[in-house]
Parts: sequence; structure tokens; C-alpha cells
Amino acid sequence: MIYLILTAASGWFAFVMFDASAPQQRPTGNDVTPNMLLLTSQRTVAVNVIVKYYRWYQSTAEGLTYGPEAGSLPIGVREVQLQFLNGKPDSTLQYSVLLGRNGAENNPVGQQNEQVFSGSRAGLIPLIA
Amino acid sequence: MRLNPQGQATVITVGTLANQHAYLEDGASDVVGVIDVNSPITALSASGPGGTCIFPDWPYLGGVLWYSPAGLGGEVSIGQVADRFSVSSSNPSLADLSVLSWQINGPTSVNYILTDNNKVHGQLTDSFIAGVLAALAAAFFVEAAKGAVDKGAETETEVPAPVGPSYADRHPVLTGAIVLAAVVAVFRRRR
Repeated sequence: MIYLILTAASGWFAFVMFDASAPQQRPTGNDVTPNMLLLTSQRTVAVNVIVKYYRWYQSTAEGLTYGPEAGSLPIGVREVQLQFLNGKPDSTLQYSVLLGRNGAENNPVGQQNEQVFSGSRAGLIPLIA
Repeated sequence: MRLNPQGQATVITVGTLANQHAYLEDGASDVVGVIDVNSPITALSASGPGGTCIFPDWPYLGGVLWYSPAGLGGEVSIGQVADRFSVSSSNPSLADLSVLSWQINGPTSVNYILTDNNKVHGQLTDSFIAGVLAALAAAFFVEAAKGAVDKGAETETEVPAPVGPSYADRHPVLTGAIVLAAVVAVFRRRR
């Protein structure tokens, strides 16, 4: 009788352990890649975009300072550096960065603490200057 | 924004990520979608001829004729992969799997598969223990079957009670099971 009980118990624990050892994939992981759409008001302008992820940032009168790099995952804060090339010399250029699909940022700021406009429409958040 | 005499300008913005949460809270690996730089503008349903858009009803955007960039390049960088993680694949491909940094040339979707090595090791250990327990269950079952057969034989012939053998000699599988269970318990506690 005791062996039957032990058979059932060890079989049950074996099942539990097999179940725990099975590969698990988060069903609610990042199955959506955040989007970024760049726009400018001049047809000839080319854009060089540099996106970096840091743990934190601090905005001071002198400018922006950053913490260490995010590391293994895109968490914390995101710096977006845009270099515009081939525009009309000495002209005014308007640009917009549309962020969507969970790619939004809270309280984005520009260099020298300038305001970055943000809004929400159809799931996109535009940054425009 | 004013362009310089060379028709160039640089801007920097930074913001706290609103929804790009930490992954790998459960499970050993996950696909991490970093960013999808999806210019040109034709990605929008409102796009017009030549890759333009006006966004007539949008705040801040309305009234301007917008263009996709004539050229698009750059870089996306996250940093050094921590020791407990490993990157199994990446798009675009990485030259060094220990550093998450990608070059962009045109519309690019940046993503990679990150594996938590600690959790993989834990799963392997669980799998090993499960195998041991399954073998133990099989041994118990055989022992139970043997006991049932012996009991049937005892009813036919009276067998004198054994003298001398220890508990471990009389119940080798049970003793082994107890020892194994103790080893497994210690092993799991050390993890």
C-alpha cells in the first residue's frame, strides 16, 4: 500500500517538475514594436536619427545629463538625436517625430530645456518643432 | 528650426518611456521589439502623392505639407548585455552579441531575442529532478507490484519471519527514495 502511495506522490511531483521545466513564453510580452515616423517640411532633407536608451536623465539649465545605458532591455529613458542634412540653407525647417504603438514618452524635453510639443491622435504622439 | 548655411541642423529630445515596460518578468526568453523606424510616410493611410501628407485635423501638424526624409540613416543603441542574459538572434544582425547597438539604413525594425540564463538553468534543473522523480515513481510501482505477488505467495506457504536484516535491506527502494528526496530537497534549497 505504501508503495502505491509513494508511486502516486512521486509521479505527481515528477509531473509538477516537468511542467515547471517547460519553456515559458510570456504571452503578454512586447509583441508590438513601437513605431517612429519622421517627417520634415522640405522634400530634399535627409535625416540621420540616433536613438539611445539610458536608465535616467536629468534636465538642468546647462543641458541634459544621462545615467548609465539601459543595458539589456529598452527601458528607462530614450534620447532621440536628429541630424538634418541637405536642407535649404538658412531656411526654417519644421520636423515631426510620430511615435506610436506603445512607443510614447512622458514629458519629452528638447536640448536647452526647450519645449517639445506632444499630443495624442489615433494612437500617435507627435513631437514637432 | 533654423538651418545653418550648409542646410543642416541637429536637435536632441529625451523622454521617459511611457509603455515600453521591462520584459522577461516571466519565462526564460522573449522577443524584444525596440523600435520600428518606418518612414516613409506611405505607412500612413492619409499619405498623398509623392510621399506627402497634410494632416488637416491634427493639432500641431495641420496646414503643413509634410515629406518623408529623402534619406534615412542612423543608429539605435541600448548598451551592454548584462551577464545573466544572452542574445540568441537579432534584426538587424549584431556584430557583437554582447552589445546591443544597430545601424539604421532606411526603414528598419529593430528587435532581438533575449534569454535569461538563470531561468534556463533553473528549468534544466527542474527537468533533471523531474526525471529522477519519474524514475522513482516507476521503481515504487515495480516494488508495489512485487509486494502484491509476494503477498499472494505467502498465503500459500508460511514463511518464517526474517531475522537480522536491517530496515534498508528489507526496503531498499524506500530507503533509496528517502535518501534521494533528501538530496533533491537540499539541491533545490541551494538554488
